[in-house]
Amino acid sequence: MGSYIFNRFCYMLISIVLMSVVAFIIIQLPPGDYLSSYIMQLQASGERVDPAQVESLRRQYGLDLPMYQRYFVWVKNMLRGDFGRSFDWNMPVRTLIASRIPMTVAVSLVTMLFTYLVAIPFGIYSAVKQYSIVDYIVTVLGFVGLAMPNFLLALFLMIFFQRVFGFSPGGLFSPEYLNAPWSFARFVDMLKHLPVPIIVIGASGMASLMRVMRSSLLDEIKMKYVTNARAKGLKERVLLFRYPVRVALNPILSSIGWMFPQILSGATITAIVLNLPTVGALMYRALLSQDMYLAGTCVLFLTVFTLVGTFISDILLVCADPRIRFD
Amino acid sequence: MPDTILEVKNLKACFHLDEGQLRAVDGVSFAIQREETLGVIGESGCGKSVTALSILRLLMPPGKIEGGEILYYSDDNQVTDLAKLHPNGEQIRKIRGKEIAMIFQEPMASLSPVHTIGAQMMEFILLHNPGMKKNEAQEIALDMLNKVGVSNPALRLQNYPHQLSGGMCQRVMIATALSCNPRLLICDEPTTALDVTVQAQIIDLMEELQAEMGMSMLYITHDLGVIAEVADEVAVMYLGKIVEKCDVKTIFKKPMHPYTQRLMQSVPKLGSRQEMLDTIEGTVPIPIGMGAQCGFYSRCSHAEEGSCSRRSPALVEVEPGHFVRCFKYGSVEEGYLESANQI
Amino acid sequence: MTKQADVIQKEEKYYVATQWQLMRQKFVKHKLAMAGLVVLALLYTLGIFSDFFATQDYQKRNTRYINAPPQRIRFIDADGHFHLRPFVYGLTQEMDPETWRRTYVEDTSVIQPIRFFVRTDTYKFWGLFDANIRFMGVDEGPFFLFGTDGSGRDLFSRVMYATRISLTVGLVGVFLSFVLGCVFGGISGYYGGKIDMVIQRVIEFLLSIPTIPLWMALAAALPKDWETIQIYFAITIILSMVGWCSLARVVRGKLLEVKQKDFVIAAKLAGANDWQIITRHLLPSFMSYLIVSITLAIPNMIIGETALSFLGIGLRPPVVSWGVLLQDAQNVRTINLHPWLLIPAVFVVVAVLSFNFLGDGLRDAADPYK
Repeated sequence: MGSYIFNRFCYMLISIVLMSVVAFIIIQLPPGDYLSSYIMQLQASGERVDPAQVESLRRQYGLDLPMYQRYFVWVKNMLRGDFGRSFDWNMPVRTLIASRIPMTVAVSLVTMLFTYLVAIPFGIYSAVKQYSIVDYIVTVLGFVGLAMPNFLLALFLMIFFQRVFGFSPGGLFSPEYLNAPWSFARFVDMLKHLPVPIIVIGASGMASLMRVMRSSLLDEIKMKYVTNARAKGLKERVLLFRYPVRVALNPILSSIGWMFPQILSGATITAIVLNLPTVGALMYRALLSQDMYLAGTCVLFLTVFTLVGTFISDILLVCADPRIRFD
Repeated sequence: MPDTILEVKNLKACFHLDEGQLRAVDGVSFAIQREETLGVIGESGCGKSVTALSILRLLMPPGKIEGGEILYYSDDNQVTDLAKLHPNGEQIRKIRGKEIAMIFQEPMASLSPVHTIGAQMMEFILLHNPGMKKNEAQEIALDMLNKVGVSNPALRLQNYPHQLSGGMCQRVMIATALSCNPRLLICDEPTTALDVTVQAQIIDLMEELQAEMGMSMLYITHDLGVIAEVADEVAVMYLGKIVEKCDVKTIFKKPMHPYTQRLMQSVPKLGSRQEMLDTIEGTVPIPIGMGAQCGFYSRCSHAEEGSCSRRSPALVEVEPGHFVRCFKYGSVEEGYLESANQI
Repeated sequence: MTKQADVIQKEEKYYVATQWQLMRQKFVKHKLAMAGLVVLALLYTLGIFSDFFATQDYQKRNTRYINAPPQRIRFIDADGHFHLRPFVYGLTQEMDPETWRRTYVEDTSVIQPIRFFVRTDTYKFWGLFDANIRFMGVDEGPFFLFGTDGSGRDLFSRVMYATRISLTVGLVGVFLSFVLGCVFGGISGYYGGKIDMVIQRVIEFLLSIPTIPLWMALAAALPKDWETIQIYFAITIILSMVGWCSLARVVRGKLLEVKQKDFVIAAKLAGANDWQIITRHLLPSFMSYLIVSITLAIPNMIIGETALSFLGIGLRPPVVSWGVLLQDAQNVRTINLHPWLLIPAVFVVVAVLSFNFLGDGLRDAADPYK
């Protein structure tokens, strides 16, 4: 057990290092380096460019060094907490990202929670009552959830909410609360804005989870150990939840591994359409304006977040399923 | 006090499939006596397991009991018709595990893969002994594991099924089944999935325990050797029907039904210098939409065009205590007897 | 008696039927999958012959008809007369004197019969040879079945061209994923050992990256001055970079499963070499599973392309795909004013659903012995 966790941890570290290389390449991909963009921006705004300042920045980010050395300078700076500067926002990348991390994590985790809380009961119900009306509805909704791209669902829901409830669900806050300090009213306002993003981000994951839950439970219900437990005189409901559901939950648990990337993926595109204050939307803007330090750091953050999530889910799975403990 | 513990009368069970109705059990009748063992033998697909599942009402859709009675005589002389009970109701659940226990074919698959042996055993013990404390249940579990010869039982209680061998799992299954002192134990091919040496050990163990605990057994197998060892009475099943029924000695000394005879011949004999084993040609036909005819007609070497192909023989007592279903022994057509109410 | 003979015959048919026959039988029974197949066949026909089905040049700006709503195809005119030949009414533009907004009303005095296989202006079919016949059209006047966009371009014609692009992005992308998946999955599964370890770790790594941010970053990094065709292929390559992983896993898993089977060992004993074993014995034994995975991978590609283009970092105009068309429908206000701009979304959903149904049916059919 301990050695397994240690191995998984090392593997996660290696993945993070690999990912940092990918992020670095993304930063370097567009023509021209960060500094020339910065100088251009300064010149455009009519400021005088101080050659000494340029020189010090050049040294700070190692821009005069060859590519591979630049990578190490970048990593070293990051470890010291310096993620570079966003010339688009004219702010340190660190401040920008840090201000958006809580919302990103919150939206992802709440969506995740919601997805599982909805998908598992409905999956169980539609498996137990196979071919019932609810089963058919779940199946149809599942297909629609899979087929509807996130951004389209977001658009449709936005139109729907505006027409039916008369308020625009874009963003996480109404304008009057956007920059207000935290208060109860602001919290309620956020709760009003949360359902749309959660449904949009969670839809496809929920659809596939329900299908996984349904089919794996259908398989488990036919297993010998269920008949055996029934032959011992156990009540149907107790039996169902204690044995087949318990076993069928394992693939669901292991699904956290791929749900995490999927939800962050969906969250990125939904955040853009719904204009949510998350890292994903920040990255989109950075990409469009070729603000590469910001974009690269966003990619790195999103992937590190998923890698850590996957790591945690793997450990959960080992704890839950005794069969893989000794592999 | 009556000697009978379970009496099955004219049991019929069907599977409703897309291709039509499959009559898996077609009018089976037998009785099991106190502290005795009824062995049921037959090829795969002859309806043995369906019969066993029907008794505990474990037959799941598309399977369904279509008719007949399953009379259970409890200790206080109450008679319950299990076939009339609700399949998930309170009454049948009180009988399952407590009065009638069952052991299945594949021990590994019959235990939940994600619970420890101890948790599974104790769950059933506590279920049928309300008010019992956990450590008492654990005592019983340990005791039972000891009895069935599981080494280091305290450790085993912490183990998961995949950490045990198949034979060990079957011992656990037996221990679990017996932990509530059932009066009848149904064994559905409990040794089929096991090695021959383990098989012998398990069978010895079950005989021992039967004598010790004084229970009756319904033992289902396709292995003639096993039947010879455990059974007092034997019923031979073919295509959902009992074709021959008598005590265990007679069936080996004087098998009468052509199917039983062929079955006996297909067993290799020690010391004989046969080159080829006798086998029964063909396979069991699928009983969907079959007209009135002897089920064994297509494979029988004694079959007669006309009588065997058009009429279905009834089970009649040819000698005292020896029932055979074959026109060769002067059986009459089925239905004739039932209307005359002779059985 | 005959009934029994029937059953036996049925049973024998089952045992002697080839695997593919059984699969076809099982697939045909799956109604949704058949429906998906029919819809996809239709969509691909529209896509392949989009020049022919389009009613006009998809780039042509009809400056007199900007943001015109879709015209309804009618059989019965305002006077209640039935016309055998379907027709559309003409459009007249009205300007709201206060808001200065243009609105269009049907001009019931102008009946424009729809003609099929009409001669129109010359266009290049598949960009190769000249043609001047289109599937349908009207003699003169506006003919906008799906309305027009803000530049007065006919949405119906644009959707036809977009269908070609969007559907082929899926195919090309899946083909690339298939090649990569087979090669890496094959090496990984057949040779095992260290190579297997490395490939598996790489796959795990790629699968743990959230796809959209990665796609976005890569797509945004494509040089602005690239030709549209370069962008097209670059986008498909980006999409298949992640897509091949799951295919490689299927190939590897199946190879490992099948490799130990007796028929492979028998082939080895008979002296077959690696190539023969892979192509003659291994591949056919799990080809059906590969087809299923491919079918289920295509919709993901389509959604990926649509999403990227929708955000403006995928395909770029003048190339049109469903996603590019949907760019016009990015905010709620526009959609409220011109709801027909969402028509391409219907195509996306229908295509993706059809692929999912088809894949589901194929998956059930892939294991006909179950």
